[in-house]
Amino acid sequence: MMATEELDMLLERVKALLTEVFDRLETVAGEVVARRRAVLAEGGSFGVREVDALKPILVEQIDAQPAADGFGFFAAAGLLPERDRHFTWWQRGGTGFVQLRLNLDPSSVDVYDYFEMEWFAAGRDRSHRSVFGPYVDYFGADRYVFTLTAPVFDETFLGVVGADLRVNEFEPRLLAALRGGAHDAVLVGPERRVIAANTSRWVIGSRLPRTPRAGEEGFTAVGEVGLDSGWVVALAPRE
Amino acid sequence: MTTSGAPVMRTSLISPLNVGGRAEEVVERISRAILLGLVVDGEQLPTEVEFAGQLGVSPMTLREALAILRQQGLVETRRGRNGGTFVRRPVNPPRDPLEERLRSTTVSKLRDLADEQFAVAGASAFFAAERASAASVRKLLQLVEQLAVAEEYGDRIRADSRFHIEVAMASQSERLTRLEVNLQAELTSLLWLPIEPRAVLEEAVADHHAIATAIAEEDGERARALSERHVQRNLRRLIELHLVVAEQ
Repeated sequence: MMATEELDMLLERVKALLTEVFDRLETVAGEVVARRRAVLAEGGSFGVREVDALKPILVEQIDAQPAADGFGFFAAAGLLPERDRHFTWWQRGGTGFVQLRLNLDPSSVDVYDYFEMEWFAAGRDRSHRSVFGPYVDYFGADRYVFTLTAPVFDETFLGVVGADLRVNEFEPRLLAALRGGAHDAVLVGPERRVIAANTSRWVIGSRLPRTPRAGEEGFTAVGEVGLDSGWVVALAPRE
Repeated sequence: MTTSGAPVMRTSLISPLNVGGRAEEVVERISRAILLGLVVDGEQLPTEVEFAGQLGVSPMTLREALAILRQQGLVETRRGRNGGTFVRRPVNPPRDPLEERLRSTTVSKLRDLADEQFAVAGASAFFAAERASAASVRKLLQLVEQLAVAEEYGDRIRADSRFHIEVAMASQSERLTRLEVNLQAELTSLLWLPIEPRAVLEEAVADHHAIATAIAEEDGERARALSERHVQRNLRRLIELHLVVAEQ
């Protein structure tokens, strides 16, 4: 197989893995839009209660995706009549599902102001999805995660839906996607961070000295995964 | 869901107790998390059943612990529709229990804790220099600044411990992060007790700044060496403080 054919095959597989999760985010986003339309059509208002009522669909998505740690929705400023900042986020707990709680009180020094977060701004200002990680999300078992987000629009910006994926569960799938070719393959994210590789040459979490480019540093073919991920797959001859 | 070293900490930071944990242990665990700023001011605690499950204690034990924390003013329970139990963090942690802990922690124990921290902080800094995201580096520099302007010892404890936890997180290692959180809970709350007047703030800020700079410049060996020296300096300081309170 030519390096370019192999590259296309690996790119398609990695893309399929992300697409599967983004499809779930789209399902949640679609639900937000549909429920809001329904409430407004009846002359009601879409508020905190309606956001919190998303729980069953969030839990359903977590349940259906074994690598998922959590799913949630963060509301846009001005969406809800009661307050500017509100979100609902559910994650796997020791037994059952646990609601994530964050301090959104802007008068507190410890406020978690999600309006300022990169992933929220990407949705609001550029209509972009985002893929972050892997990163350590504080402390505790299985908190080495990827976060995927997607904006929710219904003519106007309504907010951002997101999912956390546990590296431990997602890594084997990424690895499977990179196998089966004739080359050493590495999946690299923004900031040149290694996300997965089919060889021990590159280790997850570490950063490459340079962004891989075809014809440089021994790489024969490099391609973008797309979906606003900033991920690239790079192939090099087997060591 | 708190990408890029966001300034949020949460109750999941509080690790479970051993089987049969007593209310006093639960109190100790939660109050440390509050004082280090691992659980933020105003944060709502999980429901009693959820929280007890997370900590691995019975709901009864947790209820007992929450009653003590309520008395100490560290949590507050509100009734009604938006009710629940919320974290109330004082500007400074109560001084007496900390002094008591400093008195009863022997020099050999302090040295042993610092030995572990030498390994953890050194390795964390080394890997952080290789792996830190730009957002983590920004956060580290912010935390250096936060320590420099911290007036109260409560603020100093938080800015200091968050800096070291952020370095561990930037190393991308869950295990190093967990170890560093526990070490910070044990050591940093003692380090800033206003016991004798020797100025150490500027020295600590300079150390942190040098470590953050080495990480930003991707110089792992330097970041490690600076962190190790910083831990040893802190140990000397802790021994000095212990000697003062143990004599009283």
